Amino acid sequence: MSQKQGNGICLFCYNNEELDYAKFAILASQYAKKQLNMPVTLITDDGTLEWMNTSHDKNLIEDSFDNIIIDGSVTEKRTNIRRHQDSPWSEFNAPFWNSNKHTVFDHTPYERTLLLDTDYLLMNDFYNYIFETDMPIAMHRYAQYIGGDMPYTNEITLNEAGIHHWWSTIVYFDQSEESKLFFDIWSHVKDNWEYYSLLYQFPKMLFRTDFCVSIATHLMNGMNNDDFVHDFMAQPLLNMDQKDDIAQVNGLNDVVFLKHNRTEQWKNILCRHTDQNLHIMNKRALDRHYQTLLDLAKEKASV
Amino acid sequence: MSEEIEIENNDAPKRGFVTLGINTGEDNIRYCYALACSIKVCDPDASITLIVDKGQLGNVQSFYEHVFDYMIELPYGNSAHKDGFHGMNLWQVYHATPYEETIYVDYDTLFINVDVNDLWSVMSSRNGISVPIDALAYRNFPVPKTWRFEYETQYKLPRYFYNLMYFDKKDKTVAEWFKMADPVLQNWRDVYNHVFPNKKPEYFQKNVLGNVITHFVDHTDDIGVKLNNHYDLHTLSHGVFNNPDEAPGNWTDMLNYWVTNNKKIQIENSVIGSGIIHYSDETFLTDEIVDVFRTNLTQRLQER
Repeated sequence: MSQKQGNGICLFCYNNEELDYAKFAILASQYAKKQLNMPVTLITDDGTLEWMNTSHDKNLIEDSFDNIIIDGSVTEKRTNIRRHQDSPWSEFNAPFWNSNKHTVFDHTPYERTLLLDTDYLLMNDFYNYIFETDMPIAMHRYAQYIGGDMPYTNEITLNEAGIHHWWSTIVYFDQSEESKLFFDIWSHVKDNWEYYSLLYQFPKMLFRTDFCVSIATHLMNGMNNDDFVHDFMAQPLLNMDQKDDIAQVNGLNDVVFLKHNRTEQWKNILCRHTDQNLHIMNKRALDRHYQTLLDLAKEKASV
Repeated sequence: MSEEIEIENNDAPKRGFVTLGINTGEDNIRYCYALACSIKVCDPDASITLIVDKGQLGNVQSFYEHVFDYMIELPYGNSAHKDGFHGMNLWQVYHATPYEETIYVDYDTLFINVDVNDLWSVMSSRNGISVPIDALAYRNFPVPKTWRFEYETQYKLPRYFYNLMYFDKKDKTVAEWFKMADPVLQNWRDVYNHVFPNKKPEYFQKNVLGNVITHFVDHTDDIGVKLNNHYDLHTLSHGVFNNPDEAPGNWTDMLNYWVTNNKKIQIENSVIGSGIIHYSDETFLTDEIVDVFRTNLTQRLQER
């Protein structure tokens, strides 16, 4: 019998020299709690926790996280360098530690868990419904970018003739055998990354959990694009491109973006999204507006 | 127009499948044979008729015969004998079929784990004539209609699939459709010139002409049915080749595929475990694949 109880949210957070993921985790937690009213568990390492304790108010940390679990296994093992953009004109490299994301199945203290990336801000309560269903696993199969742009080709399928791409940005799961199998496959793909990169024909250089979950989902869907894994009612994940910027935060659930034009990158388009969950892929933009976003979350909470 | 010739066959079952197998330089009956085996694996009681060229009945190799319930000659001969586009004979299927209710199936099709009763019930649910309104590609993605139906889209014609057609001979609509099919299919070049003033298909395309016929008889809104297990593996259906001008003639040149002994088709990393699969590429059907379906049929019949 599983000892886990209730519903809750999990976040992974590992700082590096370029990005303060602890800040993002606090923000993501504040928004998630506000929308879903559920406990949040943070999974991190000693270094990140120490930095969080020195750089943030103790009350804010306690208010943001109901549990903190230390798992330092990931940062010791491998360097996964990822190129980030901040607008079309600025880029930087940073390590990206995500190889233990599948361990959330064991780490979570909850019977039903929503695993969120720290750059995902909940601005509505859409995900509440999934906790009332019998679905063992759910992820987004589809995505779109702010302003209605299509995802990039390798975000639709793993290669031109390849399997469907699924997003690990938000993973809902319970403690069923099906969920266990899903995370076991995820772990197996991670352990045999080079083999699966050849079999499914994707670049092996950057370890991507999206590819792990895509393969696991493909296998569990009967080796095709089927419906065993729930896709949040085909709702697309809303991404903000790393080349886009946040122009202004109007309110708690109201953000104006400066979206780049893909074909003519020097052109920018203002677009506004209200009450929509947002995957803020430009981390520097999120960092620049951290205090405003946090203040809005705290302000509404105190009211 | 050809004169009406009705073939009376009082012993024939009410319902059955019909396919066209026109041998020219090579053995085309092997495709019909694989199709028939695959249908009988799904339903050993299904009745299947092979239609061959006039005067060619004796030339069908005897080891194919066991799978067909009837073998019939084209009543008016092979109207494609000059061009070699055998789909041109579709108009004669109406006259040749021994059944009251017929499902015509293109020879380059396989049935895998299909509920045949359900297929009849869906296809006969709307009208006297029906064709699939949509199809899936090998990754279960919907077929991109803009590419697959390039001419239909440009000229605002219906966008249906004619590799699988249900018709009930008693229905007036059916007679109308096939009566129109006779001149359209036999005079397809003139029809192209008439219907497509600008860009036109470069060769005979049965599917395009099927949609032209449906448009001519004004049955666009009446004949489409939704089948959730209909696969169209035409090169332009896969959604893989982004530039239709650079798409290979045979999709099997570019995509890896396997057929397992338990009849599952795997293309690249995706498995099709069940469905009506119009593979649309003759090089797909190797002797090994024919053997898979022959062996499965033998086992199925032994199990009964």
